[in-house]
Amino acid sequence: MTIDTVLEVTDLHVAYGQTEIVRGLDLRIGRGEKVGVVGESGSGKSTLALAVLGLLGRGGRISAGRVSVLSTDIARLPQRRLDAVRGKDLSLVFQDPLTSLDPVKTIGAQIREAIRTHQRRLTRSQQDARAVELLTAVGVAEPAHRLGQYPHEFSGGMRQRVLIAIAIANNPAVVIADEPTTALDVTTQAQVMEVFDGLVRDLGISVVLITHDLGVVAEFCDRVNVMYAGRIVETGPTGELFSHPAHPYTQALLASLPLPGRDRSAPLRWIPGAPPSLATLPPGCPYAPRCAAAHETCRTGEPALATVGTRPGGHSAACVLVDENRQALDTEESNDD
Amino acid sequence: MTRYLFGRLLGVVQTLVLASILAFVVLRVVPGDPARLIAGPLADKSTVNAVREQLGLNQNIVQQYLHYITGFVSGDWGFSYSAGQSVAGLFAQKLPATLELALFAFVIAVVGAIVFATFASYRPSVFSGVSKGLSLIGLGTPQFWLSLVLLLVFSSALGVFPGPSGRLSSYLTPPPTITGLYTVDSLLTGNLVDFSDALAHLVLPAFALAFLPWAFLTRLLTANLTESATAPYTVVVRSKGVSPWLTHIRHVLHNGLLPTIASSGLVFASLITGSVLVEETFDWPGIGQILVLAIQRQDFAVVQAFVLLSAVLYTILNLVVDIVSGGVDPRLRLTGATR
Amino acid sequence: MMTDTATRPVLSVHGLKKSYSSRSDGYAVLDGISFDVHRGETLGVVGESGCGKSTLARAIMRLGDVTAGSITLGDEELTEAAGGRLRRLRHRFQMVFQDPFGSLDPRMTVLQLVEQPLAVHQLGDRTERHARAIEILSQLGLDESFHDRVPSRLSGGQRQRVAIARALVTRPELIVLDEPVSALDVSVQAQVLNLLREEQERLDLAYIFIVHDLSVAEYFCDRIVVLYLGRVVESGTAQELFSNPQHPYTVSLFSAAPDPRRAVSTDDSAPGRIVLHGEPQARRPEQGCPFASRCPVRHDRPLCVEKAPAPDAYSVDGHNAACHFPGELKAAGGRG
Repeated sequence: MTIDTVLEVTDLHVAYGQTEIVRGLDLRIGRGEKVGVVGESGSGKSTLALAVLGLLGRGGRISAGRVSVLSTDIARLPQRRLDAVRGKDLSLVFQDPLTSLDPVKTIGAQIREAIRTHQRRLTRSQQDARAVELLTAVGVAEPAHRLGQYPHEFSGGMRQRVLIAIAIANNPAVVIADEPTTALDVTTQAQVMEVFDGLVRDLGISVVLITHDLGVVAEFCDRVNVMYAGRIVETGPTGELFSHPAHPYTQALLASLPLPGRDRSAPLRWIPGAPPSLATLPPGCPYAPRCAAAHETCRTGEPALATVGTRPGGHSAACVLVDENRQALDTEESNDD
Repeated sequence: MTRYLFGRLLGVVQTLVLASILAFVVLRVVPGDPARLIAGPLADKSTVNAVREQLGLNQNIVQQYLHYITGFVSGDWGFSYSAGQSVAGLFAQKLPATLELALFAFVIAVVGAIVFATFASYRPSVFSGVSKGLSLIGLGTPQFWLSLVLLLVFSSALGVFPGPSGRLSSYLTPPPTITGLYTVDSLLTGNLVDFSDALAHLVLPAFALAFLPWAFLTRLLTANLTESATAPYTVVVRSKGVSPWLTHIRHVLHNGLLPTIASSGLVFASLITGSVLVEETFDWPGIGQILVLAIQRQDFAVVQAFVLLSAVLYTILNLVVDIVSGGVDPRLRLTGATR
Repeated sequence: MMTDTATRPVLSVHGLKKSYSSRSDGYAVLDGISFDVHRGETLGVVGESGCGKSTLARAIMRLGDVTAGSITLGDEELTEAAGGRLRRLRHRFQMVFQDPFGSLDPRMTVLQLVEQPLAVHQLGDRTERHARAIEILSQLGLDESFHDRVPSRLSGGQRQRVAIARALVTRPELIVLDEPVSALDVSVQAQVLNLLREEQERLDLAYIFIVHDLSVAEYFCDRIVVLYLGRVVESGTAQELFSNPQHPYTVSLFSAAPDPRRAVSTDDSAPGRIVLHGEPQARRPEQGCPFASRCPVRHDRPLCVEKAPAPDAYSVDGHNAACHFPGELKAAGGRG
């Protein structure tokens, strides 16, 4: 792991009881990188976020794998040492701004809590000064006045800004943002995504954006990971992945979008069936039962990620077809020699 | 805010008027003739009629009600023939004892509930079974039975606490009346002997009285705490690096307590009005005792005053609870002002 | 004026105004909304939260009274209908809600849920109701194996199809769709949109489609009204509005929508973004254009601050915009 890798997830397995929700997942986030994780409900993307932060609820546990934050493996860290990392090197912006702030504590108290947990020697007025600085950074007007207000006095967009302020209170290396704009209007969403852009640009913070919204990912992220049934089935640079999706699932997902300018009279493509139940996963590729291109080999072994095409940038997909194409390509290349 | 308070007060008055009418009518339609009871079974018809006239029972029910309510407001609550003194005087004499018992029971129930619920929601795997079992027992145990068991074990067998001998051992003189609560008055006058004796007398009845509301509050609070323990904001607090225990105390407990405050007012009121059986068992000279006597003797004046006082108590406690909730829950403060 | 039934709108809303009696200042959350919806047509209603979209849906469904204006369904004036008469009209206009979980009784089976509206409106006898429910369900791809399931045993997309079946089963002329696909995954959303369109074509239905996803609006709607703080700021055909928006609010709103094409384009062909600052106030200003304080063009022009623009300040071929200076703002690159 080079010094420029701030978060590295290696072969992560997360289980609730006997059921594996995340089934062997690799993710590498470089400094100042904007990485997206997209998936539909049940793909395990929210579990991934909580697992990386060590915040899996009751019954959930990391059953195998490493989560390295700035070279420290936090997957096996005892509670107290983990608390020292959370909110300092690694922090979270959570899904729903309406329920993510404690309703009975002032905004100021909630920001100060984040500061004081890791910077114990700061006085109350120093904490307040820092809180004002943070609110200014995320674009909250009249920050000193708003510190004394309660969450219900803030709009959804403003609450999400407060949550971002809390997340960056101690200059973390990585912020994990789990569906940060799903509950917001497009206009407010655009404002909040600008704030995230600012974190990367001005503070050098890396952002992992977990979402179901392909549009947001397309605009914000440098790299995209597509999750299906607890695994990453395709990963690559955003432009490359959106223009040349290799996995049939990614292709179908993109085809189902009512893209602007699409032919209105043609029906949308959709994916038949439903995502598989992770408790009773069939052998082979988990997407095979819904895949139009599936053939016999798909039902025997689950394919691993394999490089797509010849362009650099690490575009790979977990599909037998990709693997076969590549082998064909390899033989062509070796024939050329 | 003043408009809000004014509206609330108007509601209180409405409730009280309705409660007093209801109490009055119900007591008038139950069978039995108080005039006959007072005059005695051997009195002749004219004597009974004279008593009836004296009590105002020959007037129509509206006149009777108006007569009664104007008297009640001006402090004349009628005469209790079963106790042989004015009802107001009787209550002034007995209420402090009940209040003292209820206050202690309330503190025990609330503190106990907070402690049990906090642990039960923090480590469900370890504590929730114990808490759940105890509170189930609490909800199903008759108070008089519990009182007897406590007396048998801690007084008769172990001798740790005094027996059913009222508020104070008979060889002691009660402290001078300041608040009417022996424990407080004895402390105020520096009489530590009285204080420890009064406290010792309080322990068993207070526990007997507290068990049921404790069980109720524990179940309620555990449910509320468990709910706020899984709320998204606790995940956010934990993501700041705050330890699980601090998160639980600072955020989960604060939020989980709010709905409990609302019901604690009613719990306190029920402790005052529902202590009859415990008072009987411990020979506690409170309201409960005179109430039982009054009901047996169809002493309207006492029962009526009790019902009306209960209504006053419930509505006032409800108002207090609302004001307190507004103080601790910022969301209510705003809506309260604009409502 | 034409009275031919073929061209007469299914629903006609005129000068609709709604203020809540609890607000002593009489502020109207809907202020002078007018539009028509014709057979076989989808009218999209877009705007930020708080613009009055949901209030409008509720007003049309007569789930609450309106302060002024008219809502006409065929020849029936809905604002004047009440009690039994309103109940007898209800099978002609139905609604599908965003959250299929909350709108379906968890104890009833799929078949019971779809038969229920027929029983409520006393349409047909038992056997007819049964047959009709089965027919609708099969059209929506829910075969016999689903009939005896309860909502908790259905996926999100299946639940929403049951909700649509409930709306369709009374053979309504109009369905109000309140964010019917926003709780669904994209792959499922596509299927539900396709089914909605198939049924519309088959039954010549009129839809009012409350939607926040602008790409869905562009794909699915024939005409669109853009609401801002309880007023229609722009209306027209979807094609015209998306290719040639006139009101600066519409331009900004459309440009804010995330566009997957921006990931792919290397040139400037994808539209640029205008990020609106501030948020809609809780209420319109007393005078002037309601959008003036957030307008990215200029918000200090005396005309904009002093006088509210007429709904048809810009009016070309059925494309209306309430702006004193229409067309000044263009998203860089232009869409469409």
